[in-house]
Amino acid sequence: MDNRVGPTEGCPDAPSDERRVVTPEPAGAGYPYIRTSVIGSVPGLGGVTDAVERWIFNQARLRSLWPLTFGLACCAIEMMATWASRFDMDRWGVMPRSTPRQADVMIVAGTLTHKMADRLRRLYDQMPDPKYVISMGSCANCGGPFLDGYHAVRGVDLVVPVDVYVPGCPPRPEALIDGFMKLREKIAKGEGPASPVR
Amino acid sequence: MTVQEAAAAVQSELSDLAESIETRERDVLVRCAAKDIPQVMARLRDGATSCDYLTFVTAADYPPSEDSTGRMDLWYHLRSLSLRIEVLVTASIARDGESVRTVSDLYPTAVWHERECYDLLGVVFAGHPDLTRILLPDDWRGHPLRKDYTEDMNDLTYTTEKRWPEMSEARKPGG
Repeated sequence: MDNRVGPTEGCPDAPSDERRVVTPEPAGAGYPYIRTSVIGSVPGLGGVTDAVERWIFNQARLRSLWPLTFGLACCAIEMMATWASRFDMDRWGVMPRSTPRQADVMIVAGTLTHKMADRLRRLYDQMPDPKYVISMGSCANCGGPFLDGYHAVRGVDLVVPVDVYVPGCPPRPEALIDGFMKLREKIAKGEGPASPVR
Repeated sequence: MTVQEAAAAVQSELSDLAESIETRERDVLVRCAAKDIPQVMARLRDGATSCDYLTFVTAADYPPSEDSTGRMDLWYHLRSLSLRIEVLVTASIARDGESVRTVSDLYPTAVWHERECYDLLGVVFAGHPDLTRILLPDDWRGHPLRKDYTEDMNDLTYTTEKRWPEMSEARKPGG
């Protein structure tokens, strides 16, 4: 179920699927994404609890947030600047991906039109779980200056669940970096993404 | 070629078709009847003006008022890359029920321009190979750049609420 663990076929020392201990999630324990204890099934590490394992996974996860760049308007220019040499978002392991299948977080940067909404949802559905969404700029947050227009969706949260809203028109690169810091805090606290877990 | 020379060339090409030819600061403005549009464009492209580049096709909506029944103005922006001149062609049609012949067989770029014009203003281009919406969703109702367009014709949250009702539900207070 978690393809991040890696294939175990042909690897004699790897724990088989039967040896993986499936533990029920206690109520209120936070994000129930990892239901299979991997580390706990390794001989000698049986005492490692699910909470520790979840902590390790979350720490790894928040250090390599690969965003799908969804540049739709002028916010995309600021988003590109955030990866350029002056701000250099690679420092936090935030690497832009151009395919949803390699992405953990989607940055919706710009005005979402009604016609584009279908495409946004399709790309979002193609992202692997767990997935996060950063809504960047006033247009993506609520429609912005096009609130009374006929063409703009009044907030991308009408189409996909949003984790972090970055205000601004357009937001400066510092604001987008702050949005990523907020998302890292959220993952570090063990909170799940806004997207429903399937 | 200067604007005056361009105006003379346009005059020689369109002396029988143009209703008026106006020399402006940077371009030549030609008014003609809507039924003559394809012929005018063909002559401007193949004649001495050599307008090989169609920059833009659009329309302007003038709604009915107390002293007029309203009209739809069509605008074609032509340019000659070799002669460095610009020629504007305009014609009027009725707001509803009247169509104009497409120029997409003369200028292939007009296919998308005329689709946009149809999408936003509802101008029907007869003979167009694929006159469908281009910027708005296919199930959109109405043409939003017409002056009589109202939001009642298309509820703005119509699309998202219909397709992803759980998202709209989650955004409501307490949702």
